[in-house]
Amino acid sequence: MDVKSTPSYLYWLFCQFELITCSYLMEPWEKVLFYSFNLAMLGLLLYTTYVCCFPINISPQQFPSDPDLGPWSSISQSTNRFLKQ
Amino acid sequence: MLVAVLTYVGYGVLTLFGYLRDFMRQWKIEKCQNATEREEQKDFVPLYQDFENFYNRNLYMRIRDSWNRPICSVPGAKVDMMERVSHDYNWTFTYTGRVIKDIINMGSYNYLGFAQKTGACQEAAAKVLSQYGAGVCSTRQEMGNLDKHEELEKLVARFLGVESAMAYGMGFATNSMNIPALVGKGCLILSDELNHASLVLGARLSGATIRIFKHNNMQSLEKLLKDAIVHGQPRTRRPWKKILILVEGIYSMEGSIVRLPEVIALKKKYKSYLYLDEAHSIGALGPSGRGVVEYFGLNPEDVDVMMGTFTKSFGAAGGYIGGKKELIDYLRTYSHSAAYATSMSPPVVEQIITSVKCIMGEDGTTVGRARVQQLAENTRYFRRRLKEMGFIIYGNEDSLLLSLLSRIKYGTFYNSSCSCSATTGIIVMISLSLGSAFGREMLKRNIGVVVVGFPATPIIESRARFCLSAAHTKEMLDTALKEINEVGDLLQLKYSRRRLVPLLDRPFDETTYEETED
Repeated sequence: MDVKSTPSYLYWLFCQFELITCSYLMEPWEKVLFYSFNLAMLGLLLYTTYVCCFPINISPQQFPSDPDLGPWSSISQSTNRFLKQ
Repeated sequence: MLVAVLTYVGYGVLTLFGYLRDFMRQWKIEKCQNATEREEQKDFVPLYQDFENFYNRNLYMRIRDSWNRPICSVPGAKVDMMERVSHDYNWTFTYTGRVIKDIINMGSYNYLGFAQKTGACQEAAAKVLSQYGAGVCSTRQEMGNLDKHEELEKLVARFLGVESAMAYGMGFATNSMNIPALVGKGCLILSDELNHASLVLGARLSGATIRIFKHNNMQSLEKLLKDAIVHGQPRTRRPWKKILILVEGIYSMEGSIVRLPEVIALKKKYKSYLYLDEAHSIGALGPSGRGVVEYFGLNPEDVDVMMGTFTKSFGAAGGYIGGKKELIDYLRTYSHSAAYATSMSPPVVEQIITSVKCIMGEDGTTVGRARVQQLAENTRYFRRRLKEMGFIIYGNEDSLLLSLLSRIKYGTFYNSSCSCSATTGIIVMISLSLGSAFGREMLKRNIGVVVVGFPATPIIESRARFCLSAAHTKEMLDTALKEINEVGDLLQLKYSRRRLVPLLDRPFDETTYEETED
């Protein structure tokens, strides 16, 4: 299989995805439904990752002093602030 | 492991879509094209709600175009197929009128290449057709016993090395109609896990108790035999009237050869009877094509009932049973097939007679011997090349059926000197879409293969089977191998990692010294 050219490699990967999920066998409207569901799920996943794991919109002094708490700490901080209002 | 998970993912997705489609059909959003109950019967017990019907409607319909493909020429090494298209996703088919010519035929059981329209067999059959006609119009016990049948039976008995033989018109019916004549209530049948449907049907029809032992596993068989002898019949504890062991010479879906010496040793030790179904192995195993008994170098008189079919290696149709004279005389009187089924058609009988004589060498040429050797060479070559390409092969080294993605069989014990080997190859696809994709891609490249799925195989293992033939030349095999290579790369079927994987039939449960865990 010619893996040198990227478009054909990507097409081949897409074909493998089709085969594994058996969407190769589906009628066109079923494929549309399935892909839109998959893309929606993927989109939601990416959105969740973006919001939770990259706290770029929170000001520095609200970072916790304990560096072990990790990315979820800002969520709990912001939740606490919201609840105390 | 990952592959199995992915297969389940695929099946899960299709099942969900199946439920969606069923919902739409029920609420009349979509036109219902499959069989349903009538309006008046909607309140009765539902007929089409079980898994098999669900599978049929939703999964099988999507891939149906790889099955029941009509051919329009003799199924030799190359075959012509009628082209058909479907405009509504395989619910109906229409023929375009075009014929796809010269498809390399890797799907017919034409092991020795006797399915020809020219040659000695065809001429003899044509002569007999002009003498006797095509129909017999009677059963064996009434007016249907021709002298041709007597000649055939004597010849088959001589070929197999048994005292006497009887031939029937249909291979499936040979098994399913004669096992009930041999065993009945109060007898025990020990049948292998992977026996063919005809053996299973015959066993069930007979009314005997059936116990199943693990595939080719002699420990399991011995345990069952011991239990049977010690405990007898379940409630009354009387001894069993007869114990019959049903095995096949070669199992068509696995490619494994039965461990005949061990089975015969067990049979003699526990005084039971052996029924050997040589449908795939007769004509193809053994140096002179006499089947699995010759392959192991055993005495044909040790096997009590030797059954086989004429469909696979002899290019005809029908089956035979061979054994002692008293047994065959009993079957002539008491078999359902002899009493009620029409006897074999004379041209077919002549085809078998000519082909058996050819294999034995009695027609004065060495064509038969050459064919058997050609088959062995073809299979060894094919097997070796597939392994080199990275596919994993199922089945015995010498076995008739070799399957890809498989567990290399431990049974190299018997692999030594015999010149015969396998005639078919099987690729295990693992999933449905891969199976149908393989079938379609191979047809696009002008090679016809048989893809087998549920319910003939377990649901996560569908297979593609290659049946080799003595009629295939090396060029045809090379072309086929090249295409298989391409399609294997395209569909990612090459799972070989150069490691032995534990086998399906494990002769010893405790020691597995030749296998490494996956």
